[in-house]
Amino acid sequence: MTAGSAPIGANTMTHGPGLFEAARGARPHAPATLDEYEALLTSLTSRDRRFIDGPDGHRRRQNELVHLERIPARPAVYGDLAEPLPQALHAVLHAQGIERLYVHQAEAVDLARSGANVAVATGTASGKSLGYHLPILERLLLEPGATALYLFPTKALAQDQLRGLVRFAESSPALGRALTTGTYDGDTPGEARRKLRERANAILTNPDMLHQGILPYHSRWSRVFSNLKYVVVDEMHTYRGIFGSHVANVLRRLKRVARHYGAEPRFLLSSATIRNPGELAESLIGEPVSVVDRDGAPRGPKLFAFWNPRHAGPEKPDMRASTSVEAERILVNLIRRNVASIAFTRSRVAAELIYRYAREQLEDGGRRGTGAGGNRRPDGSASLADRLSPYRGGYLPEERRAIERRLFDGDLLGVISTNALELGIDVGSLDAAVLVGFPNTIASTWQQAGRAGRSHAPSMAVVVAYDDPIDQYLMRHPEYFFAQTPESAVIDPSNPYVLASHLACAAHELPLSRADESYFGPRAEALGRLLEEEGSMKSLDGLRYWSSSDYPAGRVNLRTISDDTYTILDQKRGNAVLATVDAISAPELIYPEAIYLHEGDTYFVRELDLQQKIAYVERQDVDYYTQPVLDTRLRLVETRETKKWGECEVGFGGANVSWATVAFKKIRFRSLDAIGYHPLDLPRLNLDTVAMWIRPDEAVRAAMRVKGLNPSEGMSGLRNLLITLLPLHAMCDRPDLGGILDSANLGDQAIFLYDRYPGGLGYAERGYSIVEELLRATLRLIEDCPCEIGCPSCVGLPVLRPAQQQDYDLHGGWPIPNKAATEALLRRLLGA
Amino acid sequence: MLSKALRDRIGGLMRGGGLGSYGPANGNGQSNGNGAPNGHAAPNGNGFTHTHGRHFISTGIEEILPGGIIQTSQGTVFAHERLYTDLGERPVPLLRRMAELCTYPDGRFSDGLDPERRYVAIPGVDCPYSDAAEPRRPRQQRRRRPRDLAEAAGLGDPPERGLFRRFGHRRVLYMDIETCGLSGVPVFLVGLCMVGDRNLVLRQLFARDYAEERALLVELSRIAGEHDFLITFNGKSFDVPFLRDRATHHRLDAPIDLPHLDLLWMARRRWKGHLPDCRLKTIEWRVLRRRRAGDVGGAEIPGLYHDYVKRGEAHRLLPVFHHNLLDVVAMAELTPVIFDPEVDVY
Repeated sequence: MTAGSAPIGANTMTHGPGLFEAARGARPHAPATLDEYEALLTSLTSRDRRFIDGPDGHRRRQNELVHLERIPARPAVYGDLAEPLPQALHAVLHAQGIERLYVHQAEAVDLARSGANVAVATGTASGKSLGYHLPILERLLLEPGATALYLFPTKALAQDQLRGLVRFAESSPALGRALTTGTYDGDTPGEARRKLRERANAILTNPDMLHQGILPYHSRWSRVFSNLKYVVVDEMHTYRGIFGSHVANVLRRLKRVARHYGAEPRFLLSSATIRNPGELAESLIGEPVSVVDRDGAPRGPKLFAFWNPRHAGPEKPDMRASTSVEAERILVNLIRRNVASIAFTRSRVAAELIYRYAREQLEDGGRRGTGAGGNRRPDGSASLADRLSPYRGGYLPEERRAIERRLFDGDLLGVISTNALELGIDVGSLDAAVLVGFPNTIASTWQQAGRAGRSHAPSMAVVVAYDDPIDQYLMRHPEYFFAQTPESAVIDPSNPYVLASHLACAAHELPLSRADESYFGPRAEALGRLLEEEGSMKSLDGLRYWSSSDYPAGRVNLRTISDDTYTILDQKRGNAVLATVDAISAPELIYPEAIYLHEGDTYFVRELDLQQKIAYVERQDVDYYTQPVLDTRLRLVETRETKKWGECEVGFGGANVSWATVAFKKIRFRSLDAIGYHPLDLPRLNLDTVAMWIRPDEAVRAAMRVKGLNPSEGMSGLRNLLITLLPLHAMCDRPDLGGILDSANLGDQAIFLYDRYPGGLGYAERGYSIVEELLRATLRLIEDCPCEIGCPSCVGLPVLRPAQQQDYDLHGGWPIPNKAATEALLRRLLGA
Repeated sequence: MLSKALRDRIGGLMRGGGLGSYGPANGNGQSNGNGAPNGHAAPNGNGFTHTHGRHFISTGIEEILPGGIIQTSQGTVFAHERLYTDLGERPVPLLRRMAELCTYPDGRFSDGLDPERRYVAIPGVDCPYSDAAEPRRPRQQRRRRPRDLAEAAGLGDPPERGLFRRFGHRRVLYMDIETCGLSGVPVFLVGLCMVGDRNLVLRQLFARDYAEERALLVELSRIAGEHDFLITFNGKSFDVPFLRDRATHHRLDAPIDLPHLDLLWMARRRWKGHLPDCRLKTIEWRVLRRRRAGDVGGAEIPGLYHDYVKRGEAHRLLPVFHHNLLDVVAMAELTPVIFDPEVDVY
C-alpha cells in the first residue's frame, strides 16, 4: 500500500458526519470519541499482520499499531481567591471567557500576594501563565511605578506572551492605561530600547539579554531595578545543566543589583512537569519557594498510541518503511478528517520532509477531487495543503510569528515542528500530536503529547518510531514508558568555573564585598582571591573592584552552543534573506551543493562563504535531498594527571573535539534510495575542552574474549552508563557530557568522556577524581536492572545522536550494547 | 571563558579540596546568617569594611603632578591644576576672542560675571598656579535677559552664541572625561577648563582608584554648580550621559545639569564634507593648525588606568593626563574659531 492513499470517503461515511456536525460545530468530520480516533488509526494499518518479536521473545502477529493507552478524562477543580481581584482584571478574565480560576491558579495568586516566591508546575496548557500575570497586573494597577521583569528561554516565547499581555490590556481600559510593556531582546530596535528603559513597567526579555545587555548597564535601568516587584522565570525546566547553572548565577546577579537600588523582588516561576520542581526553583533563585503542583485544569480523554512502521517491502528486507512517510500518512489523514494536528520532529530536515510529502498528498487529493481537500475550492477558501505549515528554528522571525498567529487563529489545521513549539507558545487548541521518533526524554514526550488536548474533547498522541534501538525498545516495551517518571532537572550554581565567570561579571557590575557570599555561597571568597591574583580584580578597603579592560559578560556564553548565525541568501531573488542557521547546525545543512529545504521547497547551495557566514542558494526543483556525513574526533592535547587504578589507566587532560561534514549523500525523496555520494573538504569545527579517560589493560580485554564476550561492546555499555551516572555526581545534565570510544590517542581502546563546554566545567575532572565510586555505582545499576540483555535504563540509555540535523530515517543509531559484556568488564575492573 | 591559567588554578583548588565539597555548597543564598546582602559586613579577620573617610596612602601621582587632595562628603579625590600660561600659550588673544562672543549685534557687551559665584581655588590647597589671588572685579550691572529667541540667537549667528550672550564667557565650564570604556565602567579623569580674568585654569579631577570615583563625581557636581553653562566635544552623546549613569550607579544625583553647547554638533554643521571626519584631532590639525605629537591612543587608556590602580607606576599614566588636557585646551581654543565665519579649513 502506498502512503497516503487511505480511503478518506469511506472513513467519513462510517462515522456519519451529520451526527457530529451539531456537537462539534465547524469540525464536521473530526472524531469525537477515543473509539473513533482508534478506528481512524486502525484504518491506516496494513491489512496483513506480520510476525514480530514480542517482549517475551516469542514471535506473534502484529500490525503497526503496537500499543494503545487510554488516558482518562479529568474534571476541572476550581479555587477561590482569598481576596477578589480588582475590577479591571475581572474584565480581562471575562473577555478571555474565564469565569473561575482553577485551583492551581488561585493558589499561585494567593501565595504571590502573600509575598512568597512561587513555582507553578502543572501540565501543558493548564493556564500556568495566568498564575503569574494576575498578581503582577494587580500590583501594576494598584501601585503606579512598580515594575516587573519577565524572563523567557526564547525570544519567540516572549513575543507570544507579549501578544497575550496586549490582549489583556485591550479588554480593560484601566489596565491599558496602567500597563506599558514590550520585549527587550536582540531584535528590539534602538529607539524602542530607550523607551522601554525609560517607561515600561513590564519588560519581557531572556536570560542572555539580562546577562549581557541589562545587568552590565544597570545604572541605565535604575528606574526598573529600584521599583522591581516581581521577576517571572517562565519554563524554568529549560534551565538545567550548564545553561541552568549559568542562569542561576545571572539571577543572583539580578538580585544583587536590585538590592543595590533598594528592591527585593519576588520570583514567580513556572515549569513543565519534572520530578523536582521545588528543588530546581530553589537552586535557581537561591531562596525558598512555594510549589503549586495541584493541576486543576480539566482534560479530555486521550488516546496514546505507539506506531511502529513495517518493513519496507520484499525488495528491502532489512529496512523499515520511512518514518517520515508513515508520519506524513497519519498526519494527512488527520487533517483530511479536520483534526487540528501538530507533528513534532527531532530534526529540521524531518520537519521539512514531512511537510513536503504531506503537501504533495493534499494537493494530489485536490486534483483527484476526493476527500475534503480541494486544491482551490470554488468559494476561494484555502485548500488543505495551504492549511499546513512547517515550523522550525532558522525561519525569519516574522515568518515564525505569522505561522504562530495562523495556528492560533485556527487558519492552519496542521503544523510540523521541531521542538521549537514544545515550549508554551500559545497555539490555541489542537486535537492530535504526532511524535516522529521519541523525544530524548520522558518529560519532553509528555510535553509534546500534551500540546494536543482540549479541556473537554478527546485528543490523541501517536509516537511513530524510528528504526533505532531506543525507539524500538520502547515499541517492544510500551509499559516501560508509562512507568517512568519524568527526569529531574539538576543544576549546580556553585560549579567553580561557572561561578568564577559570574563573579567576574558581578564585580564588573558592582564591587564585590564579603557580604556577597550570601548570594554566591562560600566558594565566592576563594574564587575572588584567584581572580584578584590573576589581575582581573583589585581589593580596596575590603571591596573587590573589576580592574581590567575586558568586558566579562561578553566572554561568558550562557548556552553551550555559540550564538553565531549564518545567513542564507536567495540568489534568484536579488540575494534576499531566506533564512538563518546557527553555527553548530550550519555544517550539516548548508555545505556546498547541499539541498537546503525551506518550507518544503528545494534550494541548491551554490556557495558557502565561511568568512562572511553566508550561504548563497537558488531554487531548483530536484527529486532528492542531501544528508551530511559527519566525522567527529577527539584529540588529547595534554595529559594533566594519570593514575594506575587496578587493571586500567585513568587520566584527565585537555582535549580537542572536532567535527566536520566530510561528505554528503543524495537521497531520493520518499524512497530513501541513495543516488550519490560526494566528498567535501570543509574546515573542522573545534571544541577545546577537558576529557577524562579509562583505558583497560590488554589483559582485561583478553579475558573477556576468552569468555566469548566482545570487549568493545562492554566498553560501549560502560561509556553509556558513565554518561548516565556521572551527571548525578558532577551535578550536570546528560547532554552536557560527550563520550566516545577511541583507540588512536592512547594506542589501546579507551573511553573518553568530555565536557561539552569550551574550557570544560569540571565534570570530566570530577569523573577522574571519583572513578572508583563511579564504577561501583555503575555496577550496582547494572545488577539492579531487571532486563536481561540490556535496555535504555542501563547500558543503552544515552541517546548519542549522530548529528543535530540528520534525517534519522537514514541512521539506525547505535545498537544497545550487550549487558553481559558490560557487566563482565565492570566486575573485572572492580575485582568484584 | 576563563583564562587557561585561571582554569588550571581552579582545577587545582578543586582537587586539593580548597573549594570545599562538590555539589551545591549549602549555598542557596539564604544560608548566610548575617543577612543584609549589600550592607556592610561586620569587620572580621580580613578587615572587610568600607568607609569613606579613609586614610589614603600616596599612589604616586601626587608626587609627580602639582595639585592636592580634595575632601568631599564622599571621600577624597585628587585634583591637578595648571594654567594656560604654563603650557607656554598666550591667554590674552584667546580671552579677547571669547569675550567678543558675548557682544550683541548692537555692540552691547555682556560679561555676565557674578563675583559671588566665580572661580575659587581648591580650598586648603596651596596651588602656586591658581589665579585666585587676583583682585576681584566689582559686580557689574545685572545681566539682561534676551528679549526673544531671535535676539538670543543673534540673528544669523549660530543659536549657541546665545549662551555666551546670556551668561558671558567667564561662566563657561569646558569638560572632557576619560573612562574605562564606553558604558557601565568607571570614569577616572575629568579635565576641566575654567576661564579666569587673565588666564585659563586647567583642572583635572583624578580618581586614584575605583573607590575615589564617588568623590570625583561629588566634586565635579560642586564645580558644575558654580558655572552657568557647559562646553564639550561630543558631550551630549557621551560625557554627560556617561556621568549621569555613573552617578546613578553610586546612587548620587546627576553631577551636571547645565545648558550645554556641544562643539561636535557645531563642527559637523560647519565642516561636514569639508573634513574627512569631525574628530577633535582632525579639527585641531585642519582648523587650529596644530598637530599633536606622541598622543596616547584612546583604546589604550582604560588599560593604563587599570594598571595604575593595580601597580602604581604613575609616570605611565602621565600621557593620559596630557591627552585629556590637550583635549580640553583644544575645545577652549576651538570655541571662538567655530563661531567665526571667516575661518576656513586648511
